[in-house]
Amino acid sequence: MAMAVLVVDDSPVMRKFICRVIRLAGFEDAEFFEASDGREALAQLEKRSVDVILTDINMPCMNGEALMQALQENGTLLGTPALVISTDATRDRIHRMLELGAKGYISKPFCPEALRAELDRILGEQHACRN
Amino acid sequence: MPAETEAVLNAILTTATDALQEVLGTMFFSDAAPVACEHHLAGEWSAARVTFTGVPAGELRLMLSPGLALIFAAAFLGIDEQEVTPETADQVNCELANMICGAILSRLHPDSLVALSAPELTPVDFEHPGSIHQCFAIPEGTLAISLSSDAW
Repeated sequence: MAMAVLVVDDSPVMRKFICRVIRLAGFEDAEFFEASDGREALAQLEKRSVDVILTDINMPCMNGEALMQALQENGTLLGTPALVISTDATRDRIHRMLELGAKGYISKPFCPEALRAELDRILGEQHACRN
Repeated sequence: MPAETEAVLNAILTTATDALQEVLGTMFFSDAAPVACEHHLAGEWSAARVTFTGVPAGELRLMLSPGLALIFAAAFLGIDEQEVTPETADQVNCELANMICGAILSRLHPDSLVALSAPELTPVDFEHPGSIHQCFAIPEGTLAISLSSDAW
């Protein structure tokens, strides 16, 4: 079954780039859903479940931190792994997002191999937890 | 300029150059080398700015020589230049400014908590007061950044 990915970023071109990189990284059959902020992401997650959420931090309306908090507070969504992709690579920010429940953190710029490695790790952990 | 101040500014420029080269090399399949400013080059440049708040606060302005935004957009999205709309080129210009700003700040201030604003298009301004400015030669044109901060 194809991997379902929710890409959350306020930049339409960054969403396109991430989808392209995931396909280039070997997930050619992945199915993508997009949201431009945390609020839209939660609305998408009410309609469907996904295998992984990739989220930016700096977004209008509801940023990545608020989205992570909302995911933590929602029992149904708690099991959906989230990976942060952000330009902010400061130590405090990374620590804060991991504390909020993010399963990984990739700073921009990034190469397809780095994203592939993180997705493999996160999805592997998820698979192990389900079994 | 006092030698100590000059050394600090040179260190910032070196960091900015490293960050820019990493962003261009990783996500735009391009490279950049610092060059003397040549703003007299004809044509319509495009510009984007990102402000940042926290410690430090300031802003980064990115200026691209004519046609460069379109070339970068095609490389970034893996499409032909003919397929790039002006709107898409503007969005990629903004995203490039965002990534360069984040990469520079993360290197200069790895222990700070700084918030970046949404990047926006801005009028071209090569002599923004109080900013450190550097031009870079790109295989396809020229790129310029101006960085100002309350930290220097």
